[in-house]
Amino acid sequence: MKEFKVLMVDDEEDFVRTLDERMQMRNVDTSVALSGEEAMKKLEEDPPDVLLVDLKMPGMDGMEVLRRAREAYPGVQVVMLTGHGSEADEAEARRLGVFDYLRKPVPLDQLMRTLKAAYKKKIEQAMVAASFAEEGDFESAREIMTGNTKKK
Amino acid sequence: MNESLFMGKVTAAMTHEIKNVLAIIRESAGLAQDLLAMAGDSGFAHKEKFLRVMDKIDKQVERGAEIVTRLNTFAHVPDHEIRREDLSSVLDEMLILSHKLSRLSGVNFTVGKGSTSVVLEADPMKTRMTIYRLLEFLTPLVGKGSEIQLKAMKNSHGLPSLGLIIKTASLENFCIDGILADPEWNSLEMEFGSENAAIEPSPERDSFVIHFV
Repeated sequence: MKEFKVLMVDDEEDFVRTLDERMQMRNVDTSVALSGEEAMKKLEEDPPDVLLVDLKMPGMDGMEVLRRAREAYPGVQVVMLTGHGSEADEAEARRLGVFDYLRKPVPLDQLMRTLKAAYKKKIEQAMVAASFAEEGDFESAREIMTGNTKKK
Repeated sequence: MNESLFMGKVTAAMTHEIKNVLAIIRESAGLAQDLLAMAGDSGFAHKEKFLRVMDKIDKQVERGAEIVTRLNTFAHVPDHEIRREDLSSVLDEMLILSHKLSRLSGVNFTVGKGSTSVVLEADPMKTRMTIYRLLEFLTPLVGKGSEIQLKAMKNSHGLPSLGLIIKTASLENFCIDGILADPEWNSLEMEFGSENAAIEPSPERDSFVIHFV
């Protein structure tokens, strides 16, 4: 039984395939997309627990993947892993609700800790949202899943 | 777009590519370690040596990533004609960028930590050029085994300044007045002094202070 599911999105195929192999050895259920467009298709077919996404890619970039994923799949936590990030990029990603923003080359144990923390957040959010939904408060449940909690 | 801006833009793009290369090297070395760990103790006579080599690769990747990050920051320097920045952070950046100069000359560069933050508002490229050219000029004069300490300071008017404290192995061999009389020094002073900074020796004549203007 794998621990949790991660979709890795990066156009650097050598990097993402090697990382894929190492994560599978660590009992993580992984899949790979080599573009933003492919990632959106895979998200629709089989949403992961965590999305690990590169920032700069040809076609749809990581920021757009983050934006769309947070809108359409609010339960999926997104971690950005990039060799390109500026401080402005990081600020924008955090505004859009990224769980964490890491810079390449990151040690694998640090990446694993971040992915596990993202998965934990997903489970906790789902549990709280479920308790609101059980009481019929679907608006609050939705707010918790998207992270857009309004003050009441 | 001017030449510096163009050079910076291209360099910044290349640093991003290098980071991807470093990430691939790190993951490939990590995968080799994982495979060895899976194989257990049997069958590989050079396991210890192999692990030492893998550890060395990982440390060099870390070192390369640090250098590339600094180079990326440096490549963005021409983006601003005037910038407000913490002078101590600039000195930390210069320490990395001048590492090769330090290694080749045998002169150790350090950054002295001040008690207060010194914020400098100046042309960031000229500031770095001033510091680098000064180090380049001073290293052969102070000699192997010496130390040049860079320190962010404020002068008596509260303006940002840079202390260059020179610790030579044999103080008698180091003649500050000789440096001040050197034609190369005069050209440096002319180059930076009029527009960006005034350079003065300390009253004890064992250090310099650059007053940014």
